[in-house]
Amino acid sequence: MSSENREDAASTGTSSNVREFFDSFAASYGQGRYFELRRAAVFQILTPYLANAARILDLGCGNGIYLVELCKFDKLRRPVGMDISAAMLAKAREQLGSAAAFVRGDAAAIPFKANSWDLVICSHVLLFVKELHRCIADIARGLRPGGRLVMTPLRTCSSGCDRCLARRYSRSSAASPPAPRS
Amino acid sequence: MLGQEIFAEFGRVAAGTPVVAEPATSDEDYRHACLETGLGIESMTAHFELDRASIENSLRMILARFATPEVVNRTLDSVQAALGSSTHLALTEPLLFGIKAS
Repeated sequence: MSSENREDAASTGTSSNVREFFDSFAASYGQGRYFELRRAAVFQILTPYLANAARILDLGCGNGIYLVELCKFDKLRRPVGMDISAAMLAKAREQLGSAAAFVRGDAAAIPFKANSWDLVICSHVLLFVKELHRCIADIARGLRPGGRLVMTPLRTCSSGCDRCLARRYSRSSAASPPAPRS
Repeated sequence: MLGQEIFAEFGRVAAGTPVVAEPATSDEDYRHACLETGLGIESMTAHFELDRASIENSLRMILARFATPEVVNRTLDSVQAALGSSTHLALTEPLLFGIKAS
């Protein structure tokens, strides 16, 4: 499948409460000094790999906070962001316009061709995926030879990120998340 | 670690609410998944520092999405206690690379 600007390419598997949860704070996600500094630290590590990565997928791109940084690297081709939350993608598109391509989809069913990506970024995403092995196998298939997947975090992070909290919430609240408070 | 102290308190306060379950996926799960699919693995850690006011503000914003004002305030009280007299916090973000052979 092509990866250009498609919505609803796949939306199966991941529970709807995760999607609804992230829909609820698309406008504010990733804001604040903590997130800014964390992203900067991660990009400091990623920078050497970006130089040779023309095709990048941000899997679980949220409202586009990493894509905004990625688009600052001139040599990149148009990066692709995929997320399960329509509200997050709408915010990402608002920020980035045509600088990136977007796909609405579920990490449990990644809709891309084999050997598509030089770098796949999964920041605070895989902890929501029930079928981890299948997801990583899909990502591996999508990587070009020599390509890299970068995952973060590996487990509940020491600094208490919101996605870790979201997982705590989503795993134990099957049907009806409470209204967001912020 | 600071986060553990914060969320130990958070967990106690949140007992009986939906915000209780721990993530089931471990570091080893990610590593095994990569290795089983033929990806090589490499670990790295991003480091950053945050001033006290920023971490309190960020946590307040994050927690407000999940918790009642009472829980937020109690959690922030525990943050204050954990911080002590520290003005800056050294934080880390662990990264795992899965690398496809060339």
